[in-house]
Amino acid sequence: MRESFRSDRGASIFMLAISLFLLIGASAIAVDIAAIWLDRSTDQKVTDAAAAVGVLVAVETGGQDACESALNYVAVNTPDLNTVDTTDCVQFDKICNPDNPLETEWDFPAGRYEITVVHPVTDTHDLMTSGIVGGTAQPLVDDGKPCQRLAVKMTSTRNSLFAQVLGFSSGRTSVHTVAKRIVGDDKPPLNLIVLDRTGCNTISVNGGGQIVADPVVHPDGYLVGGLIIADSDGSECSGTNGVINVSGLGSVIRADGPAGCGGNPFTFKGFPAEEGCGTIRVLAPNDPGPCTPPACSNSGGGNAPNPTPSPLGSRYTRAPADHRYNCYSNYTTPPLDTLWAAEELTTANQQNIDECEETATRDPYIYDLIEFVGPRTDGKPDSTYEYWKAERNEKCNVDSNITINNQNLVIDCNLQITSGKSVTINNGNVVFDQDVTVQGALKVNPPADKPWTFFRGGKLTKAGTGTLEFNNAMVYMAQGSSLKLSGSGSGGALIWTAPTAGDFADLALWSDSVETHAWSGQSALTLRGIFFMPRGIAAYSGGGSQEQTDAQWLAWNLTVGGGGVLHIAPGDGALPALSDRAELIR
Amino acid sequence: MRTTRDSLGTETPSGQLPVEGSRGHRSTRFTAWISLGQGSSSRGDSGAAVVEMAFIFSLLVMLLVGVVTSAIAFGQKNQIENAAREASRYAATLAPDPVTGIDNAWLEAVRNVAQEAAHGNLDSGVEGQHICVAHFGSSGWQRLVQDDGGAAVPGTAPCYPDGLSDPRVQVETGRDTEINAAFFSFDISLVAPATARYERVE
Repeated sequence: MRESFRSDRGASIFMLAISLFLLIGASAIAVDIAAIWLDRSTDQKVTDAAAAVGVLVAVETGGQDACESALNYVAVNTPDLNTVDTTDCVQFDKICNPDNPLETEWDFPAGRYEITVVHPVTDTHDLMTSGIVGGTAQPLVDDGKPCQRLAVKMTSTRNSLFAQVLGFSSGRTSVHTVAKRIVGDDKPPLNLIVLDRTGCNTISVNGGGQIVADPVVHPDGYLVGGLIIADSDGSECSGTNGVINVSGLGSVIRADGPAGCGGNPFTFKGFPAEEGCGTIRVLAPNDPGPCTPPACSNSGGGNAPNPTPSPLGSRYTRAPADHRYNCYSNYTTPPLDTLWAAEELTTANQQNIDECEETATRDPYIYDLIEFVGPRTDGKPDSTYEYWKAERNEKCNVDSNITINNQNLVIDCNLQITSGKSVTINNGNVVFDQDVTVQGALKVNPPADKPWTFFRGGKLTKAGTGTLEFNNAMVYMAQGSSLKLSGSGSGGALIWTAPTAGDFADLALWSDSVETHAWSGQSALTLRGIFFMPRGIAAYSGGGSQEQTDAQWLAWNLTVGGGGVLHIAPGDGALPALSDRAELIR
Repeated sequence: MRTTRDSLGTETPSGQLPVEGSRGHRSTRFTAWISLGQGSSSRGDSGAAVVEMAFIFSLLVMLLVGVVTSAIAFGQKNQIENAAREASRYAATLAPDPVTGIDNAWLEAVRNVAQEAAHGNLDSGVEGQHICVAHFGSSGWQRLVQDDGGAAVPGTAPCYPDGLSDPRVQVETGRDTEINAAFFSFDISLVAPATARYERVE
């Protein structure tokens, strides 16, 4: 019995030792696993914040800045990291080409972490396909384009606290976030955008001319700064030429805004404002400020743009107008044969704009109109139209006052309205086939339910003392059309206002022409609406006193000279500048 | 803020050593266990076993209680980390008031999100409760900070220095907790900061 008792005691102590060892071991592992999972949770917070800021900066100022910003946010949000070396961020392209996105993936070791930044993120990347966790590929619906995505991955190695006694020296976790840039619902105003993708001098002011982007009064009662965007990458620039060019004494390009930036103060519609407190942004690479090529140049006494241009990280494109007036957000399959009217629309122009809400039921307004009217060879759009000359026997050289009510017209000859004479067309749509020269007055008032006037070709010319009125009208100008609207300080007027409702609300001009659209200061000038000339050359010069306008300009390029002072102030219905938001998608 | 770190990866502010929170009454309990063991030893070998068992058992209790309270602390830290993340992301996309811009009501809304996301770990009655929300934008810093369940106090400073310059939001959550090992314990402060770029137009 005694022997047996001794034997049993030994067994129990042995069993106790084993149990203790297992218990302590299990506890050690549990504590270390908990610590690792806590790390993982913290890391997820870090990658979320870093990817979100990175994708926004990528759009604003390009991949290199995006990488740096993402890493800075990693450092701020990680408790045991003070800084991350961002030197290798130069590996990321300044501009992401949507047609050929060059994926860059780079590792940044920092302490016990390894941070990986990816931009752009292609559809086949592991982080997009879930291959990294062995799952099935996630659908790419609504995931945007590679250039609109940025990913941050964070791998953390934590030395075990207690489990080392069991041979577990460390644990690793890896988390990632893929963020997508989306269009936010903020709608800051956009005064001027020039869309030339590669050109130089795309916004050019000379001879004492001025372009001033005025601030806008927000409906809620505060001032928002003016915004000018140049969408050119400057690849055609050489030497000292820049995308934005100011030359000649007294020439100015300026964006004004609410007081606070240290510019010359003034009062704008009752609000304190200052010169240069708006924003000028240029896509061209290299730091555009204060005014260095290829983003900016000034010579001959021209002032540097005010404020200093800031970088634009991605193309802005004509997409907002296409979206609003053609319900068009996908450029991969152009909606119809664009005939002679429109440029080739490619994915290069595509922005990640939310699908038009009425896509299933809504037609493209502009392209429907083009199809309806057809080219010149189609003759009358339908039987409600009459030819000016062939059917109505109206003179093409107008030497009397003519008023036509409630009739749709095709003006099938060179229309010349002599000084002192007028043509007024009320409640009818007009299709101009050839040149129109206005020395007297031309007034067009289309019907409210079809508020448009159509130029199938020809040149619209207004003499300095002539008067031209498009009242509540959307003017469409087909390829080959052009404008020359001269002004004078001693008479004549230019009144051009967009429809206030309907399919073409707030659209004053849609021109698919590559020709010059020339304007001059007028003794009486009223412009209201969106003047959209995505392929056209816009030119503005002096002549007459210029008045404040509620117009937004979108053109291929813009030149102001001859002492012309062009104030650009978008009205309430102007196309908004797209604000950016980040969406976490993986 | 980043001074010492404990085994949970959390921070102990102002350089306190964890053992400073030890409490005397638990030492008394330890003494009672020892006394029980000594009383048994007078009855021979079996008494020695009882003493050994008591000693080991006390170690086991200490270990188990320590593991459990550590797990609770890990859970609490996880919750306030999550709260900071949720609130910072919410704040990054929360539009300013159209008239007053970023104001105390805006900051309060973010604070509420942090509190709700913490599932009770940032409620007013929690010891050392701390929620700080700060926004940097066109008006500079605006901050709202609530400590120990008191009234939220507005200010014009960040929650913590971060060295950044872009429009952004900071959310810092915190609470105290206790690691208890049966015979001793210590308090630690859990802190979870989160900084996010502000994505709305002011």
